[in-house]
Amino acid sequence: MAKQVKSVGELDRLSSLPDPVLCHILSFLGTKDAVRTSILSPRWRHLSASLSVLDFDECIYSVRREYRNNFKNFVDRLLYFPNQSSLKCFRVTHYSFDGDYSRLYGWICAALLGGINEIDISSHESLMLPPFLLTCRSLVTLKLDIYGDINIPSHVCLPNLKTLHLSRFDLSDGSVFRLVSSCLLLEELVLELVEFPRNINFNIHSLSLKKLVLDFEGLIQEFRRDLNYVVVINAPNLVYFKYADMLAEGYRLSTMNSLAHADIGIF
Amino acid sequence: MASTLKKIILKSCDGKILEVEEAVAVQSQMIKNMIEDDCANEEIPLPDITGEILSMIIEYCKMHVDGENNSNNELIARDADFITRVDLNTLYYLIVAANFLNVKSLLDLTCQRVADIIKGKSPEEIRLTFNIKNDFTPEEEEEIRKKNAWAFDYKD
Repeated sequence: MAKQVKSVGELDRLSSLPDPVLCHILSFLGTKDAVRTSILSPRWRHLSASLSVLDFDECIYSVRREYRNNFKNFVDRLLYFPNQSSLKCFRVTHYSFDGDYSRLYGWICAALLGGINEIDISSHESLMLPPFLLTCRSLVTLKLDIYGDINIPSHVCLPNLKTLHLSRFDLSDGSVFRLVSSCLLLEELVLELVEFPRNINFNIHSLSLKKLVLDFEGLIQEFRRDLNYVVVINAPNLVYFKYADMLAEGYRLSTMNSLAHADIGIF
Repeated sequence: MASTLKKIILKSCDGKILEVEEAVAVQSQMIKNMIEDDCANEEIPLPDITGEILSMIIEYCKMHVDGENNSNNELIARDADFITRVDLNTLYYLIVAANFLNVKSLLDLTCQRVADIIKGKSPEEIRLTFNIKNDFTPEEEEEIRKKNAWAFDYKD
């Protein structure tokens, strides 16, 4: 009883915050928690219709089968309606799309056409990605953790990309290095467990790069590889450098006057 | 670097005057813009921000300027220490002030804190925590639950 009296006297200050601030709070919640706030009061009802972050981390995994279509319809509504210009980040993991690859393809396309800033996809299987993913001008962060091949088209244009993470790919040629060199604002590059062909020019060239992680340690445990190539890294403004791989034929590194942290493991 | 010793004078809504080093004050994008536009030579009145909240914000900004050379983990630990000392009422006023002054890292920290409090709570628990009055009719509530049934479904 005492508690009830106390809460009558207290104001609901949170709900009086402006929409952009409340949406900012929702952006720190997983999508499921964010959507659930729509039931708090009429003030909160429509906020989740303009989420800036769609984070489906295992969302669907925790949804019973009979509600999975309901979930997909929610994502369709969010992505295919024009008031979604507020969407900044689209993050899906393997469990969040239920093997519905064509649906996911459509979602990625819609997010890219809507001017998304960040895409983060991880999948246990090979995934078809829209060809215009690598020509999306609005992208600032791209993280792909996907088993299988990736095709890098001859024309790539990511003029605003600052962060690029690629994990687990098989790269059929050295075109990823062309991709890196063409991103003139790129500050952070992480290549993990990426399988390269035997004879390539391993050549990272970027004047803007500040953080570089080349971590292939997990591959060594699976099978020993012969690195019959010379590793060339020309990144004079690097601040953070991590390298873990087997011994290559040789290394050619540019001077790195700003380097503050280096973690080198050669096996 | 004489300019870093320049003081900016801030006046809270309850009349408290605080002198802040420019390097600390420019953590606020709003004040930074004022300095660049040469509008920060006299005291800057801050409506809606009390002296108590303003002191906390300056403490936070100072911590970030002084900690620039510290490791990221140290700053995160200090942020966590700062924010967990704050009660809900103060948290609300900090959000309003961080939003007005445009101190992005503090706005992120405070909004993240609210999100952390919301996380894992049932709607009823969230309403109780923040004194949110449920004005929905049972029919409206049912409609919302139905529309996004996936989000309101508990597997266990």
